[in-house]
Amino acid sequence: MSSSKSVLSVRDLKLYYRTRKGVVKALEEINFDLEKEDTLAVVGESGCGKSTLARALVRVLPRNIHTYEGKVILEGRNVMELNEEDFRREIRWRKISIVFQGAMNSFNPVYKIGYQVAEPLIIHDHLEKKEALKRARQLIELMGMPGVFADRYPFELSGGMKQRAAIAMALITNPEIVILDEPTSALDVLTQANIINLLKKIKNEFKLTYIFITHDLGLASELANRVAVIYAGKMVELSSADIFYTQPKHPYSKGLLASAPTLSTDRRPEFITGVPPSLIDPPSGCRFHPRCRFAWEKCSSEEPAMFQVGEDHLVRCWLYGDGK
Amino acid sequence: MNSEGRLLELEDLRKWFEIRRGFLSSKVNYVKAVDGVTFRLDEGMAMSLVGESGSGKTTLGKTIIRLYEPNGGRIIFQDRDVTHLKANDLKWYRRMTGLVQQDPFGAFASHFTIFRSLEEPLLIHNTVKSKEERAEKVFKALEEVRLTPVEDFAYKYPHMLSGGQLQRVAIARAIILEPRLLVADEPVSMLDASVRIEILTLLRRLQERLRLGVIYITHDLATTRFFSEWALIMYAGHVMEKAFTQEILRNPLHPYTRALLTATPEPNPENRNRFKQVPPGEPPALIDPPKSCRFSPRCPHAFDKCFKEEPPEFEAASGHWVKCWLYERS
Amino acid sequence: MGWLKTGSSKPSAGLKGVLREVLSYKSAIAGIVILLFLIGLSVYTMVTIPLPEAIQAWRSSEAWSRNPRNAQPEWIELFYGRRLPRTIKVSLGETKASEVLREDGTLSVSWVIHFNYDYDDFPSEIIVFFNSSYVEKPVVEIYWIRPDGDEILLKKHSLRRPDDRLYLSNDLGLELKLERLFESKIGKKPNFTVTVEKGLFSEYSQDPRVLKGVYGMRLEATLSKNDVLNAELVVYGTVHGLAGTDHLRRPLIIGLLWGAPIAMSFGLTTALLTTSLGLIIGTISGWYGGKIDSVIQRIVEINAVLPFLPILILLTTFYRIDLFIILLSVVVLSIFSLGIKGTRILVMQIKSYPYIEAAQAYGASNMRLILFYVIPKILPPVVPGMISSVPGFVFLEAGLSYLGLGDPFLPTWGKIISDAQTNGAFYKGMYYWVLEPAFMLILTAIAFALIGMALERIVNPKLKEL
Repeated sequence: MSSSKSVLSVRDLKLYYRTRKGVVKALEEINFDLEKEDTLAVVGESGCGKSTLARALVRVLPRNIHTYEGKVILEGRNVMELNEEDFRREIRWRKISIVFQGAMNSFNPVYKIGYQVAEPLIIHDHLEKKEALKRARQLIELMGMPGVFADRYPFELSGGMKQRAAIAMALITNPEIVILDEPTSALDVLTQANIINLLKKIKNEFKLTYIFITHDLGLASELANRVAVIYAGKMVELSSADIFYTQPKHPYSKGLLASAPTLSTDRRPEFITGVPPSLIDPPSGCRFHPRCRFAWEKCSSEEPAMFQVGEDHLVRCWLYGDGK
Repeated sequence: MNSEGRLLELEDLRKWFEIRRGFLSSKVNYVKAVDGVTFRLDEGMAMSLVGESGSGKTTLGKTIIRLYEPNGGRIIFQDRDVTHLKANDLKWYRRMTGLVQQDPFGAFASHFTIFRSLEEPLLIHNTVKSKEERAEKVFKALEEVRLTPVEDFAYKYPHMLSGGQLQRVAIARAIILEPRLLVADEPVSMLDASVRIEILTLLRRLQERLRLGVIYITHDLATTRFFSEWALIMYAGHVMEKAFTQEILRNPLHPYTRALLTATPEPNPENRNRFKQVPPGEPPALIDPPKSCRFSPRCPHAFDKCFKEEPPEFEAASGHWVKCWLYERS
Repeated sequence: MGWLKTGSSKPSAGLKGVLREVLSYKSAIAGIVILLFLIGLSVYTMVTIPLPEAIQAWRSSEAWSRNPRNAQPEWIELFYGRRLPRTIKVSLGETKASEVLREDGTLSVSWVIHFNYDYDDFPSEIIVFFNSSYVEKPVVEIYWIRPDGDEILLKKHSLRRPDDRLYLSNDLGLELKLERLFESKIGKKPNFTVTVEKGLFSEYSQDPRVLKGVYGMRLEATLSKNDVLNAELVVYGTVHGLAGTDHLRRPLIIGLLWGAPIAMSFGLTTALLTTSLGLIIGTISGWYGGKIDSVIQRIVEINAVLPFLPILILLTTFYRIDLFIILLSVVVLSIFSLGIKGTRILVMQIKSYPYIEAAQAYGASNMRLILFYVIPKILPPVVPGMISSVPGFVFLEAGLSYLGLGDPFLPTWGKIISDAQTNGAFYKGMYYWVLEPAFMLILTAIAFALIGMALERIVNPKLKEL
C-alpha cells in the first residue's frame, strides 16, 4: 500500500459526539488508503459508525460534535486543515460527493428534478442556469432515464428513478470520489439490481472511486474490490474483496459472512449472538470480545492493533497478534 | 396432508381498495392490491409470501388476519368461513391469529412498558383471570423468545431495547394468546443482517414447537430457504408461482421468479466483474394493471398471447403451480 | 413533532420524570412558587372568611361604616415618606363621666375622651356615632379640645334617633365657624379653604399644618334618669389596611383575597373542561372519520365564526347570572374550538402507526384504543396548552365582570376593576384600586404561563433550542 498512488488516505480519523448521556465514541483509529477506481465497501451493523464515516469524509456533521480529528489526505493535501468555507468550495461535491441513505426522499418537492440535479453546478461552478440544466438532462439520460424526467417533480417519479436522479446529482460536478451511503436500502430487489448495474457502468465510464457503505455483504460484493469491516466505531478488518470473501480472518467478519443467506449453496446461515456495545462506554480490550467465541484473557484486557496477516490484509484481533 | 391438518385456505381472495376522485364524483376506481389468491396452508407449516413493494403481499397478509375485510373470495380457517366474521366471532379469530410487523420500533406504544404491552392481549381477551397468572404468562412468553432474565426486560420501555430485542417482544406478543396462525410481515427487513437470522431462527423454532402456521412475508428470496416449507411469489396482486420453497429455488419456472433469483445479491467477490441480467422497468400501477399477464410488459419471454389473455395457474409439475403461458402445454 | 415518533423519542418516564424535568427550568420553579402562593392564599381565605360571610359583608354597607372611604393601602406611606393618618376610634364607654344631679331629677352628664394624633396629614372625615336609649330626645353639646388648650364648641345637637350620626365633616355651619376662628387667630384670611378636618387639626397658620398632640372631645348632655348615652368618635384616616378601601368603605383585601380562589377555580375548571372535552371530540372525529367527522368539523367551523362575546351577553341577559352559568356557557362555546382540528390531525396520524394496527390485530376495541393507546399519546402537547389557556379564562371572567356580566354576588378582581372604573379611580388618583386587582390577575397569568411554557418545552424539544 503505497500512499503515493492513493487518491484518498485517511489517518487516525476520530469522531466523538456529545450527548446527554455522555460522549459517544463514534469513530476511532480509522486508517485506510484508496487508489483510483477502487471501491471500498465499508460494512458493519447499524450504529457501528459506518454512516458517520461517510459524513465525516464530506464533513456533513451534526452540531453536537465533541472531537473531530485526524488526517484526510486527498490528492496529497490534508483537507482537515481547510476551514468550512474552503472545504465547501473546493472539496465537497468538487472532489467528494455523496449519495445519502434515502436520498430519494430528500428531494425538494417544489422544484423539478432537472433543476435539483443541476443545482451543484450552479452553486459550485457558477454555471449559467440554462447550461447547467442541459448538462443535468444529459446526465439524467445517462442514468437510463428519459430526458423528459428532468422536467418532472419528485412525486411524479418512482423510488428507483429518484435514486437514479440522486446519483446524477452526485456526479454532475465530476468528482473523483463518490460516497454511496446505503444507496439502495429502500428499493426492491429488481430495482436494486438495476441501480447496481448502473453504478458499475458509470464507474467505468467516469473512472470513479467509490466508498460504498452498506450492511449487506452480498450487495457489497457487487461493487467492492476492497472491504473494510467496522465494529463499534473501529475498523476490525481491511483487505481486498477477493481475500475477504474467501478467507475472512476476524471472528466478527466470519460471523457476518456466515449470517448472509445464500441461494447458491446449501450452507445454513448462522448468527452472531449478543448485541453491539454502547459507544459511550465500550468494553475494555477488544470491543468484540464479549461476543467472540475465541476470546481469551488478553482480549478483554488489551486492545489489539491492526495486524498484518498477508499482503493487503489487516486484522484487529489477538488471534493474529504478535504473540501468536 | 389430511383434512384434519388443514389450517387455512384461501379461495380466489380479493382485496380492492376504493378510490374516489373528488368529493362529489361518483366515479369509483379500485386499487386491485390482491386480485384472486388461492392457496392452502396446513398446521405447523410456514409459507413465504415473496414479492416486491406493491405486489400486494402485505395487503394479503393483513386480509388473511382480517385487518381488512375481503371484497371477494373466501378465507377458511380450521374449516370455518372467516371471510366476513363480525364482533365476537372476529374477536375469536383475533385470538387465533397473531401479527409480527416490519418496524419493531413502531410496533409498541411508547408509553407502555414491555410488560404492559404483553399484558394487553391477555387483558382484552380475558383468557386468564388473575394478575399473577397474567404475569406468569408474560414472563413465559419473554422466556419463549429468549429475552432472559425476563425481569431485565419486562419493566423497560420500548426505546430502551434494540431493534432485534423489540422484534422478539413483538413475537412474544403475537404468540401470547396461543394462536394457530402467525403472520410475520417483513419481520426482519429493518434489522441488521446478523440479527435477521437470529430472529428467523427463533420464529422457525417456535413454529415447529407450537405447531404454528406461519405466513412469512418477505421481499428477500434468500431468507425463505431455511425458514419456510412453501413459497408463493406475488407480482402486482397476482400469485405468479407457488410450490415448495426448495422446488422454487431449485427450479424456478416463472420469468419473474427467475429475475428475482438473479437479482438477489449474494456474497461473492466475482460479482463485481459482471452485470446482472434483470428485466428493466417497474411493476404496473394497480389502479389500471394490464388485462393480460401482469408481468408481460417486462417479461423477456413474452409472446403474443401474454399481451392478450391472463394466464390461469398451470400445474407445471406436481405441487408446482405457475401463472404463465409458457407452461400451457404441461 | 419529535414526541410523536414512537420508540426513538425520549420517554416520559412517568410523572416523576416530568416533574424532575420541569424543575430544571428556573422559570417553571418561579411559576410553581407563585402558584403555590396563590393556592395557599386561596385556602387561607376560604378558611378565615367563609364564602357566605364574605358575600354578605361585601354586599352590606353597614359593616364597613367605621372604615374610611376610598382610603389608600397603608404601605403607600413608603412612597410619600410621611405618616398618613389611620382611622382613630374612641368610644365614650371607656371614659369616666362626671355626673351632676339636677333639681328636676335630670342628670347633667359630661364626658371627656382623649386621643393622640401624630400623623403628617389631615384625616379624611370625622363622624360621631351615637348609641343611646332615652325617653326624651337629649341635647348633646360637643366641644373640641386642641393640644394647645383651645376649646371649641363644635355643635349643639339634639339626637334625632337613638343611633344618630353626626357628620361633622359635612357641617357647613361648623366650617364657617372654624374659618372665622382662623381669621381671628392669624389676623387675616388663611390661604386655604378651612374644611372641618383642617380647621380642627391644623395649627393656626397661613398654610395648613397638622398640629400633633393629644386631642380631646368633651360631651355634655342632660339625660333623664334611665337614659343611656354612648357615643363613638371616629376620625377617619386616609389609609386602610393592606389594600385600602373602595367608595363603599369596603376593605379591598376581601375582594382581592376572594378573587384568588374564584379566578383560579374558574380558570382551571374552564380550561380543564374545554381542553378535555375538546380532546375527546377531536379524538372521536379523527378516529372514526366519515360522517361523524364531517359533522364535528362543520360544527367547529360554524363555531369559529360565531361571535363569542355577544352570545355570552345574550345568555347572561336571559338567565340569572351566576358564576356556574357563566362557566357553563363559556365551556359550551369553547369546546368546539379550532383546537379540535389539531387534535383530529394528530389522531389521524397516530391511527396509522404500526402499534395501533398491532393492537387491532390482537383484538383491542375502538374504546380501548382511544383511551389507552391514542389519548396518552396526544396528552403531552395538550397539557401545557391547557395550563397556558388558564390565564385566558381568568381574564375572560374578569372581563365579563368588568362588563357587568359577572356574578353580582361574588367579590372578584374584575368587579373591583369595574367599580374602580365607574368611580373614576384613575381620574381621582386612586391608582391602587385598579392596580391591585390588575396585579393579582397578572400574577395568576404569569404563574400559569411560566409553568405552561416549561411544560411545552419539555414535550416539544424543538423549542428547547430557541
